[in-house]
Amino acid sequence: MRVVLVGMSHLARYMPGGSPRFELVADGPLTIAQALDLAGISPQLVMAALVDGQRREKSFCLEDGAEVLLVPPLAGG
Amino acid sequence: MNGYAGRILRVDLTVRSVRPEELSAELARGYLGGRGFAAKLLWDESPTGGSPLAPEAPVIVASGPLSGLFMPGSGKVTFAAKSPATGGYGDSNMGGHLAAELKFAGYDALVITGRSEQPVVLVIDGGKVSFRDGSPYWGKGALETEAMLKSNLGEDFQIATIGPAGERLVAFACVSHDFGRQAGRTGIGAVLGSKRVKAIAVRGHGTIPVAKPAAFRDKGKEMFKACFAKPGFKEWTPYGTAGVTDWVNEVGAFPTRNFQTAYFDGHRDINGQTLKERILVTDKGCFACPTPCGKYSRLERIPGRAETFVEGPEYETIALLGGNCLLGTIEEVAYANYVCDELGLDTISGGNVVAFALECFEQGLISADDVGRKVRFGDLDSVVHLLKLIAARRGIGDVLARGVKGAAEAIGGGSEEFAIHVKGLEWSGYEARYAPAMMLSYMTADVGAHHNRSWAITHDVATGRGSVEGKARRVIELQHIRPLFDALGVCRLQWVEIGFELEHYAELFPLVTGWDYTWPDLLRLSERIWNLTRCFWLREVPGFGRSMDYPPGRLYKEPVPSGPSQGHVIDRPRLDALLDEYYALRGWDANGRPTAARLRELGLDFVLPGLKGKVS
Repeated sequence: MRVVLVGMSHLARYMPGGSPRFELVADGPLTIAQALDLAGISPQLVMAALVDGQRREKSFCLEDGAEVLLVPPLAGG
Repeated sequence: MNGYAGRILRVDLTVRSVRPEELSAELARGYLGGRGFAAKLLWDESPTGGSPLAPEAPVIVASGPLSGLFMPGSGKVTFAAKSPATGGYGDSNMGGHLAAELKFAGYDALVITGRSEQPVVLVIDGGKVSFRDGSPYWGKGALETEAMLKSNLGEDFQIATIGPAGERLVAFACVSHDFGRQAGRTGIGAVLGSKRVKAIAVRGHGTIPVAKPAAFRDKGKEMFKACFAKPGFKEWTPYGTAGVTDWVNEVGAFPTRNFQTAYFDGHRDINGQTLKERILVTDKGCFACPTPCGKYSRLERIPGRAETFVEGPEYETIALLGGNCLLGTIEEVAYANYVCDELGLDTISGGNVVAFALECFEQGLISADDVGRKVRFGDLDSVVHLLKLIAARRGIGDVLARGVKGAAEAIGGGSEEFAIHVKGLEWSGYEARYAPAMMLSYMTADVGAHHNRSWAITHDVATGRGSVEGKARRVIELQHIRPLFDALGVCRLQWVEIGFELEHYAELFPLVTGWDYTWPDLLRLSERIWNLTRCFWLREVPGFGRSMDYPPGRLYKEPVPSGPSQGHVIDRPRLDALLDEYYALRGWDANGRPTAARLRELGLDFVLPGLKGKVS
C-alpha cells in the first residue's frame, strides 16, 4: 500500500530527505505508528496525526492512498 | 516613514513633561522596532552602572513597523528596561491591543524616565498627553485597576497596569493589559512601580502609512486566508499553548516539584483538554489574531473561594504553577494564575519562587515562623499564601520578592543549587536535563532563562537527545528568527504553531516600509540586536561572561530521578562543549564576550568605547 506523510510546521525540516511530503510504499495493513517507524520519523516529534481532517491515534489503521498530516508539538508561548 | 507612526514620545515623570520627537531613520532602519528599539535606546540612555529602579533609568515601550497593520498577529509591543531581576538587559513582549493603539495615537515608542512624587496614570489620547492622579488606583489589583480605568476613561482606551507587586518593587512584577495579557518577564512592572506609574492608557484615531497600500492589502488578506487554511489551525486553536502539556510530559521535560524531576503524574488533569472541558468560557485573541491562544475561563468549583474569571492558564503557567508546585487540578492552577494576575506577578517566576520556597521549607531552611504557617507542595492555600506574602513583601515574602537567585543568596544552606534560574531570571516551562539544545537556549537567552528566544526541544528529539554536538547552530538560528518577530512587532505563534511560512513576512515587509530588505537582511539586523544586548550585559554587570551562562547545580549535577528522562543529565564538561561551540559560531571569545572585530562587522562600532577593557 501507499501512504503520504506530510510534516507540518517545524516538523517539515526533520522529514526524510528534508522535504515536508514523504511517500511511503509498504506492505499493509499499516498503522500510523508503523508508518512513522518505517519512514524513520520519531513518534515523539508528532503531537497529533490528522487523517482526512480527523485527529487519529497512532494506533489508527491507514487505508491505501491515505494522506496523514503530522502536527508537531506546539511551542508553549 | 512608511510602517511607522513617525514619533517617539519622551516622558519625564519628575517634572511631568512630555516631548514628542521625530523617529530617526537611522534607528528605524538599523533596529526595526520593538526589542530592537529597546536595545539601542537602553544602550544609549541607561546610565552606566545605575540602579534599574533609579529615576533616571528609562522604561521603553515600543511597537514595530508591522504593529497595528492588516496582517495576522500584528498586536505585539515590547516593554524593556534594565532588569531589576537580573541587572542586565530586560524585555518582555505582550499581545493585546496596546501596540496598535499606540501607533494610532501617533507614537512608535515611549521613553519614560523620572519618578513621580505621587502615583500617576499616564494618559495618551491622540496628540494630547496628560498625567492623572493615580492615587485612587494605588494598592488595587492590576485587573481591578484596568476595569476602573475603562469605566473612568472609556472602553476605547487600551490600558497597561501594574499590581501591588509592581508598586512594592518585586523583582518579577509584570505589566498587565487587556485583562490577562502580560509583559511578564524581567520585572518591568517593578521599574514602572519605582516611577510610581500605576497605569498607561492610550487611545488613538490615526492611521499608519504603508509604502504600497493596494499590494499590502492584498498580501494581508492572502496571509489571513493562508492561516485559516493551515491544517494545524484546527489543532492549535481549541487549546492554545496548553495543548502542549501532555507532549512535554511524554518527552520528560515538564518542570515538576521545583525541577526535582521532569514528569508529573497528574498532567492530564491540568492539560489543554481538561481546561476546555471544565473551565473554558471562550477563546480570546489579540489585535488582528487569526489563531486566538487566549482561553478565557470561569472558576466556580473551588471550595471556599468565590467565583472568578481568568485568562488562561496558558502552558507556561500550567508548568510552573501546576507541575512545579504540584497543583493537581486545572481549577487550582487557574486560581493561582488569577492571584498572580491581580497581584501583578509573572506566573513563570512566581511559580519558580513559590516552588523554591516550598523546597526550602521542606529542607528546614525556612520555618513556619518565617512563613507564618506550614506550607507544602500540592496545596493551593500554601501557594496563594506565599504569592500574597511576596506581593506584600511581608515576612519571608520580602526575601522571596528578590527572585530565586537573590533569595538563595539570603537563605543560603545550599539553596543556590535548586534556585532554578540563569542570570537571575527564573526558568520557564521546559526541563532540559535531557535536551541539550533547549539547555543551551536557556543558558544563552539574552534576558536569562526564557524559552521564547529559542525553543529547540524538537531539534533535540529529532537529532538525538544524548548528543551535544551540532546543537549550537540551530540555537543561534532560532535566536535570530524568533526575536525578529519581537522587533517587527508581530506575533510569532502563527509561524511556530501552525507552520505559517516565513516567506510571507519577507514578502510583506517591503510592501509596508518600501525598503528592499530581504529576509537575510532582517536576520542580520536581528543578529546585530542580539550582540547589542550581550554588550549591554557586559557593560552593566560586573564580571559578566561565561560564568553567568550556566544553569544551577541541580540541572547539571542531579540526573532526572523519574519519568521518560530518568537517569539523564548534561554534566559540566558537556555544558562547556555546548558553550564552546556556541561562542565560536557567534564570533565571541572563550569567555562569551563579542570580539571587537565581530562588533565592527555588525555595525556596532559605537559600543566599543563603552566596553573599553572588556572586549578584545
